[in-house]
Amino acid sequence: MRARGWLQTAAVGAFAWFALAAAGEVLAAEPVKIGFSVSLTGGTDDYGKAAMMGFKLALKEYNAKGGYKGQPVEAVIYDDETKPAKGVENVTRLITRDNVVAIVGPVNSGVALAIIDIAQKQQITLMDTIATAEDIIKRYSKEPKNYIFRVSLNDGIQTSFMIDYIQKKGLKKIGLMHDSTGWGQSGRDTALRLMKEANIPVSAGPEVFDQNDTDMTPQLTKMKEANVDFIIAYSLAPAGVQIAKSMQKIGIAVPWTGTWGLLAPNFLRLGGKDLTNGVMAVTSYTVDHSENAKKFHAWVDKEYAADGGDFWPVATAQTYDGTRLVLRALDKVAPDPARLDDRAYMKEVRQKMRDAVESIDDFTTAVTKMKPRPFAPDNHESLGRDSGFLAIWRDGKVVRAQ
Amino acid sequence: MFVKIWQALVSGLSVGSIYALIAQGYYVTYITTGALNFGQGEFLMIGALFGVTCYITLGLPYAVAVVASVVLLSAMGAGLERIAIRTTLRHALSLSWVLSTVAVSIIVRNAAVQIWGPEQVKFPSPFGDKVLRIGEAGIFPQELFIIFGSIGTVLLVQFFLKRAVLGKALTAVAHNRRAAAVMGIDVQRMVVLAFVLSSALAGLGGVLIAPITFAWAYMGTVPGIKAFAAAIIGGLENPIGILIGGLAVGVLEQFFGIINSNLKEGITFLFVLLILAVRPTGLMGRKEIEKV
Repeated sequence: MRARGWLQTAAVGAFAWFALAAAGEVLAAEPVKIGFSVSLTGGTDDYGKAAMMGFKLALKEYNAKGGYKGQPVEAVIYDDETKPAKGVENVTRLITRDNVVAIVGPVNSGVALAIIDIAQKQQITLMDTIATAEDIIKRYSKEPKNYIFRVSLNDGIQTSFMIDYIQKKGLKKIGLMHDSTGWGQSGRDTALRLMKEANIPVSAGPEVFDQNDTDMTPQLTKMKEANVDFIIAYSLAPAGVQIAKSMQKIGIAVPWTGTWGLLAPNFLRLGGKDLTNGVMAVTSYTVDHSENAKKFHAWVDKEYAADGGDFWPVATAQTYDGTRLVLRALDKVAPDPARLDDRAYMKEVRQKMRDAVESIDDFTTAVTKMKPRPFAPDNHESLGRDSGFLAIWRDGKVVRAQ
Repeated sequence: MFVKIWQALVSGLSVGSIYALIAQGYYVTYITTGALNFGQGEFLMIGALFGVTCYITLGLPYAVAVVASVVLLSAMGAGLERIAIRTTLRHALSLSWVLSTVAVSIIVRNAAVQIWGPEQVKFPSPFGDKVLRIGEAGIFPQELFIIFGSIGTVLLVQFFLKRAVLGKALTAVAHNRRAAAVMGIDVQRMVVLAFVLSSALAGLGGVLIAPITFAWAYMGTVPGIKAFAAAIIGGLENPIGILIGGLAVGVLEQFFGIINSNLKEGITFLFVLLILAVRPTGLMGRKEIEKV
């Protein structure tokens, strides 16, 4: 008898719980969600963490102003562990399970090249605010509708600044090296193409190295033997420090440059002031290049004082702008939150989101150097030739290279 | 051309001597139990990160950091033997130790990420960063220290195994467990000692290389595998073979890096396959005589 009474109570309780849950769903409309998938661990985690600060600040600002139709927009954040397979898993989940309207991320080019196919096929906006491989935007640029957008200087544009420098200084013998990741290889191809176009021969290389190599003397010895007077290296910061150390070892002291990866905070942290002195890199952003940037920098410093402040300003600023573009598009599309569960309707919303991002033409509050109309049907790169320059490390600070 | 080869030799020796040091750890446990710790690389990583904690965070002298890492890793070696080896070696033909040591290595790596974070940490060399010149080749003082430290340690371990009473007891267990037990040697204790010694070597390797490679949670995997390759090349049962195998792997990588940098990473494993096909017991391993 007693057992039966207990069962009855449980059954009634369970029924009541289901009923309440169902009622709750009808009453409160589902919040609008934006996906965010970046590397929070693994090789490019510095970028992911800095990007997350920009992403969260953009959402915070938006929600503080009332959010979307009075409800805060929700973030769904995943870590891709700097692994392409994990990135694919995250994006699939964001689209099919979490029902997000758009995705911001990733930060690693290798991961990006693996996930853009899904975003394009599933017709959802992917806002890349960090990854720089050219093919991320190029791959679908011939399609009627490209779903991939970028707020970051691609490798081609970055390399063009290096070539400008080579031509300005009249440098003749150029060495080329790159890490063996997907990003490093795509960087090599970009450099080879652009150097050929500019009629600059590659005197040594391309030489490859593993991103965890600790001794680059074999590769650099070849540069030394070829008497190069400038080296382009597609390397992230830790391997960049090893390059600088190996250069000391074999006694080759020529100027060299990389992409903005060499401006990452861990380059200085691992290499120190002396080793980084004179190393160059391309950047699109400095914390004091405009009033907006200055204000934003102070805000990040204050909000994240406990986490080291604005420790990687370029990554944070680009992601902040990219996320704000997505939110602006959301306001323009103005979907009905109660209908987001409807698959057909969601599909339509996502398509409209893409069109809206492409047609934004009043974005005057950017902190990066982008135009009020960042994108166009034939251009999904918001940062271009007029937004960057070659910077150089001097006594632990980044200044414009002369 | 000569300068290039000379530089490759010098650089290769410093990388290779670390492989030799770790591989010596494989040797010690393999001869005594037939098992080895596939987490040697992760143990090396703990040695390096604990070295960071002692040397940088606590500001202790480098020598103290080295000793502290070795002591910690010795304790971890004893623990490893207790939880991952003793339990799995009860059955004569058991290979479960492969899985259990790999499992421990994964746990150790994840724990390290939790404690020290996933970032590379700078470990300034106590000997400074001024490049020394040996002929035309450049080398950092730390690398020179690594070469002498590793080779010296390997020789010291050999001396211990051949001359010290405890070492002789260990060697006796390696030769014949049952006979050693009859002679009054505590076999179980010797097995523990083997794992303690093996792990201590990994810990020492970690504090030695950290100033060159940076210290971080993912630093150990590749050296662990390459040291294993070195042991296979040299012959798992021949300590001198392992020493030479380790140095050879380091130097080979650099040589092939000169010829073509694409070959640098793969060449070691190509070499392993070649050796296994031609001389399965390693370059300097004893040929097994099968009696039919």
